[in-house]
Formats: sequence, structure tokens, C-alpha cells
Amino acid sequence: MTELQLDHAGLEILNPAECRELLASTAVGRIAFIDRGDPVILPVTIGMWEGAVVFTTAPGSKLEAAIMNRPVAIEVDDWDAERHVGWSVLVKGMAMIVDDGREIDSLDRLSVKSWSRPEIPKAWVRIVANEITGRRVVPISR
Amino acid sequence: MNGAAQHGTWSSLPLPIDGSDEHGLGLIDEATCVRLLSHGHIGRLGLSVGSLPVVLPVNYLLQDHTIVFRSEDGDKTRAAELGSVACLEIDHFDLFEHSGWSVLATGRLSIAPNDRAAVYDRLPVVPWALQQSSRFVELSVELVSGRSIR
Repeated sequence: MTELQLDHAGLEILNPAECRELLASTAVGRIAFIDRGDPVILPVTIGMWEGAVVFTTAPGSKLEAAIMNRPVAIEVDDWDAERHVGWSVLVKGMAMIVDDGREIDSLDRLSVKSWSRPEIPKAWVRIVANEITGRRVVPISR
Repeated sequence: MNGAAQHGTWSSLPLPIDGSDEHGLGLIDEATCVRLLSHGHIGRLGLSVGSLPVVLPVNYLLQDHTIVFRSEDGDKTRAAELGSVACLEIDHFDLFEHSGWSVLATGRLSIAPNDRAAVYDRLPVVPWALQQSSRFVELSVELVSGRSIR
């Protein structure tokens, strides 16, 4: 058995493979970005495509303008407050628009739902990650 | 179909909507946003650390328009010492019902002064990391906004 790796606050450090598995199993994430100097967080329905987090946005929207080719973070988590267990995974990277027609076709075949109304056009965004980290709350009994 | 939502928890009940945004999502009014914040326990704190966005989950309580959470020394307490602008996001989604909402509160962080920390110490504000050395951090809510899927 391997020893749990704990951080300075006593949370278990998840390895990159565990982080990717949790990302792939989560439908709703949150995107964080800096808008005119201030941090903003919005929920997004995400998918994984060729190892990267992907989601859709409306072309020309305020969100698109605020994130494109800029540093963003994607967070996914799951918590059970009563049992005091849970985990979170954070992806730090850059948001890039997908503009290759063949790539868009294959993304359109993913089962990533959009919350926007169907008549609103969508563009695919891919997160080029430079860091993926995760933490798990270690049960108290341990 | 609306009947099913009636039996859900408070968090899946239809929310009063005040217009819609550019994505066609419903805008939740400020009073409802504050009510949703007051019911929540787990939120995601957004910080700018070296101009880069970071998201950190926190267990929080809303006290007098202030979001209160406990934190170990780290990015959150450093941002609080600097009085940085931060945001807290809460949400609830039901993918099967295609319903849900999110609320974003923005304000400035600070370390709670001793008198208020003593009050918070009697409240159920539990940090995820069960360490004794954690401090109480406040986020004064200056702006709130909310969106709902309908």
C-alpha cells in the first residue's frame, strides 16, 4: 500500500491520472477567469476530448471575449457535507477556440450538453492545460 | 413536467426570473440570489493569484451580507491580508431535468477581526481541512448576480 500524499492543510494530493479520471466523469465544471482585473466563476457543461477539457460558448459573447487566448481555470468537484468527504480538481491553462472544421465535427459528436437555447450559435473552446491538480478530503476516521 | 420540480428540494424549485441574458439564461434577482447564498454551505472561491485565476472550494456561512469561511495559511489568507477582490460561486444542477441555477457574489476579502472571529467560532463553519490553526476569512458581498436554466 502506498502512503497517502498530504498537502500542508492535511488534504490528500490526487495524482494526474486520478485527476483526469475525475474530470472525464464530471458533466458540470466551473470556469474561472479574470475580467477587468476581477475574478469571475461561471458554470459550464464540460467534456474531455483528446485529453483536454472542452465546452461550448456563444460566439461574440462576453464570456468568449473575456477568456479567449487568456489564462483560465476549470474546476470540478463533488462533496458530501454530512460525511465530510469530497474532492476537487483544478485545471489551469489557456482557452483556445477550435476553428478546424474536422475537429469541430468530431466535437459535435460528443455528448456535451449546452444550457444555451438551441437557436443560439455555439463555438467550441478547448483548454490547453499547463497544470492539473486535485485534492481529496481524507475521512476523519483515518 | 413542471409537476416533478414541485416535489424537489428548495434548490430545484422554480426561481423568480427577471429577464434573460445573451445566452438565453434567466436572470435571478438580487434578493433571491442572497436567499440562495444563505441556504448554501459549499461554494467555490475565485481568486486572482499573480494575475492568474484560481478556484478553491470552501465551506461557508452567510452572516450579515458577509461570506465567512475558515482557511489554513495559503492563497486564501494571503489574498485576505491584501484585501483582494474575490468571488464566490454556488450552483445546483439537475442534468436529467435540464434545470439549475448559479449565483456569483463578488467583494473584498479580509481576515476577520478577533471580536467577529470569536462569534464565528460558535457557528458551524467547518473547514475542509480539519486543522486547528485555521483563521476566519470574510468576503464582504458587494455584487451578486444569478442565472437560471429554464
